[in-house]
Amino acid sequence: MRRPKSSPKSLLDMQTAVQTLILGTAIGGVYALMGVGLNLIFGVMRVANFAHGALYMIGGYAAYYLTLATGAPMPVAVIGAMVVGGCVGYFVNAILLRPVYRSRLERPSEFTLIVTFALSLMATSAAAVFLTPNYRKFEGMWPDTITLFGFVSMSGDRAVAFVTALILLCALLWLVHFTDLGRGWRALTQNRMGADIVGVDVFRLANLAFATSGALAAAAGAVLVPLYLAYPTMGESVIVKSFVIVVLGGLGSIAGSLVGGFLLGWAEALGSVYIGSGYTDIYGLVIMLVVLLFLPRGLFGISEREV
Amino acid sequence: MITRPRRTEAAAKPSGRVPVDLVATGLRVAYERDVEILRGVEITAAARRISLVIGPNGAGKSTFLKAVAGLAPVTGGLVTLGGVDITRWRPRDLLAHGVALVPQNGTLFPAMTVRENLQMGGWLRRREKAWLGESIEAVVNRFNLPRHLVDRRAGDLSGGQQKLVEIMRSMIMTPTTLLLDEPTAGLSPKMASQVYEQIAALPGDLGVTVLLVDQNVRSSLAISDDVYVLAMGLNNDRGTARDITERLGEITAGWLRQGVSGAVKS
Amino acid sequence: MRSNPEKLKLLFAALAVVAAAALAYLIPSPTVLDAVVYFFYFLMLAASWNLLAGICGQMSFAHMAFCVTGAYVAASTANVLGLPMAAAVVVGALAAACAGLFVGIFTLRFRDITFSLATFAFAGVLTSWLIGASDITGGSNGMSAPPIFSGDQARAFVWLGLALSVVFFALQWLLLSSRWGILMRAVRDREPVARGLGVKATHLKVAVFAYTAFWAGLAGGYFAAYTEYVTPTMAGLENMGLVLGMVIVGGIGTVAGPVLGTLVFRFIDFFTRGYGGEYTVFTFALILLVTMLFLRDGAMGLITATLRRFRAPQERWHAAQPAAAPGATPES
Repeated sequence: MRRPKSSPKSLLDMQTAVQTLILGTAIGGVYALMGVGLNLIFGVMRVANFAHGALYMIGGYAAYYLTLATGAPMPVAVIGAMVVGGCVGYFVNAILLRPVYRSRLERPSEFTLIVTFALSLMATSAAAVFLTPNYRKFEGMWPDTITLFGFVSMSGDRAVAFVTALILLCALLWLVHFTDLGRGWRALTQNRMGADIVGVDVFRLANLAFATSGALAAAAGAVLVPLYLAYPTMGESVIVKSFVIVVLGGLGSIAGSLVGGFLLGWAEALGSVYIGSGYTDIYGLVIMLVVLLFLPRGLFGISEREV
Repeated sequence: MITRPRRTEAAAKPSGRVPVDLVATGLRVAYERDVEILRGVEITAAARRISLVIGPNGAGKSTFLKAVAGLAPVTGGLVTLGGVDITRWRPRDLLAHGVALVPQNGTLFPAMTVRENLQMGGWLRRREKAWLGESIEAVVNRFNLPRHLVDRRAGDLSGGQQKLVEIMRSMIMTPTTLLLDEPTAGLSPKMASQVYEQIAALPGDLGVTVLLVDQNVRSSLAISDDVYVLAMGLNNDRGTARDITERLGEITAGWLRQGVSGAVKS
Repeated sequence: MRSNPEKLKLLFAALAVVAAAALAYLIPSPTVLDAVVYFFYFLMLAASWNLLAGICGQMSFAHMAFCVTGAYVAASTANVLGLPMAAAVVVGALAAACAGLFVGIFTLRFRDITFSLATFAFAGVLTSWLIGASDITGGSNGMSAPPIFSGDQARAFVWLGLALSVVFFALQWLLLSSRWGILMRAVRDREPVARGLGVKATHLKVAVFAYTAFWAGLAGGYFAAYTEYVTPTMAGLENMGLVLGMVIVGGIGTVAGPVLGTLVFRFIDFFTRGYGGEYTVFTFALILLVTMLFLRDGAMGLITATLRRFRAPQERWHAAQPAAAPGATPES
């Protein structure tokens, strides 16, 4: 990434840089929301959930149909989407991933990988089959453009998305650090065997982690519909980004994915302004590959303690 | 008579819990179909005593403990706790019935503080905050853990301290039986003797039945009451600690001979 | 030993090839011929991914990325340098192998999930780049490619596909019966142990990765020459899922598994094609999911289990003997 030159004569350049960083922060918040949810599952279960993008898509559609059917305002639609996403997440783990917890699988991580990958294919194609591949949109809470400091202009919906993401991130941090459930999750992340012998019910906690993660992904999908629309393949680029965030920040580290989300937001914003907007999806991936080369565990990676 | 109770969390209440014998009869374990690690082991851990299991490498000592704790695939035989069949129970259900396990490799949560680790020890009764606080306080006092360590990250403690915290954590639920797998593996002799000291006091102070598996034969013999010797997945010898200590040279010589014959056979 | 299973398997393989050749010769319908060409395209992809993931144990998500590399390089060398398409396809495959070598050196340092994620990310980078760099690659419109054959295109491609598949399976058979086969399985099942015994696991994995990338690239070139067109959608997540699914449904880690899986998929595609690609993907993903949940060894697992049940009792006695020998006590 090239840093913009901040010579005094180019105030305009400065303003562009600030505007870019603010836009990057705004989208970075939503990215962080996706990454944190994915990483929660990774930490608790040592599993990469390929269906995370599908949950994002489900959230977008759930919010769209809720507003369409009931005329509900956006906050209600987002909460509704979270409920739907949470339930889907819960049942995916409780029913489809049950063999991972309840029988002796030779390669549990491979099993989950394939099952969630199949699920994501199914969800995407089912959306195209049953909901048609059309783009859909509902009116956001704040469709006007807002102006900050006199020169930063940004769509109000983007601000709404950012604030929602921030609220949900805080709620998740509270859940993880100040409740028994969160303590159980952290225990599972840090030492699987230890959690087993103190009597943590892995299956139950994993179900709840999946539900939480699903709700967060659905919320991210729902708040972005007014900006990026809802369509069957909306989750595909998002899942790649979520993986980038998780690997960037370190597998299993909540703080890592927070940082990773914002880093990705900034990288994309700066890259598309200063390098070229055609390759937005690439910048994050390149950063991830570079980080992986030097820090194979990511920025905040926990040490793996396999038993 | 063997009964089969339901494995509910309700059993976690220690009220009226009396230390009872833990008995393994004809215990068999096989990870793969044809490869039996244990071939019918009989061991009784008598109530309020320290029972020690020793044996040469590959005798199945650790597997035995794992099998009792529900972490190894039991293919035959029974484990009973005071007449209750607990074969193949998960660690969670065992803990609810008063059987705690401290495995060989570290099982602390390294990024949590010692206090949080101890709180995790009371996971099954996590909703009873007052009880949990008292229990942690009691355990910290009982083991004389320096106060300033309580709010340290567990990963920052020394190896011996970590092992002690692990034992403390297993004591939060006031178990009647403690299964210990090589508690001093990788510790300095000084640290090891501290850990043994604490283990030796468990039956007398807390009325705990201890089943100890150890490589460190001499030190562990010094604190044990009953001793079982395993070899090649079978009972090889048994006796009181005094009896075995006297015949120790003869027994270990036997292990060496077996090792040689085993090597020749394969 | 009276019946030799190796000979029996060889007989089956020969029969399959003869049957496929006869079909290719006899089929009059261009739709069916078209479906057969697609079959060989996916068979090469599935079989080579099976070698990498099923036998060497490396769950790569970059296979379609190598396929598309082969296709693009073939098309562009033919267009720009004026190479005949057949030579260009080989160049494309070699380029894919080089890409595999390069990517493999970087990503195979990681194990299990991290490896999968890294290859996934590589595939993502490549796809976005193909769409983004429209001045070089033609963007999402893709790039046209010259044909290999003149005249009866489809039938010629069926023959070519059959020949390439036979070559692949013959080479795989040689590979698996050599030292390499054992090493690959050792790395899959117990990588730390294999390393401890002195297997250069990373070298082995990179070699296998590059070799399978070669076949993916060859399949890509084959397909590009047939359709005379390449687009970035070839590298999409969907196609990777289909290839993975074919291997799993057929039976991962077996030789015949990918063949069966590709057949199943081609039949579904043949009958759902009229409705649009989503239906095919949906049906196939459903089958993949059901396979994972209830039939983890795939169609081959089912066949093996059935065969075992119907085997002569005398042979069964032999098979059952070692398990009973050490005297497992009956459980009460």
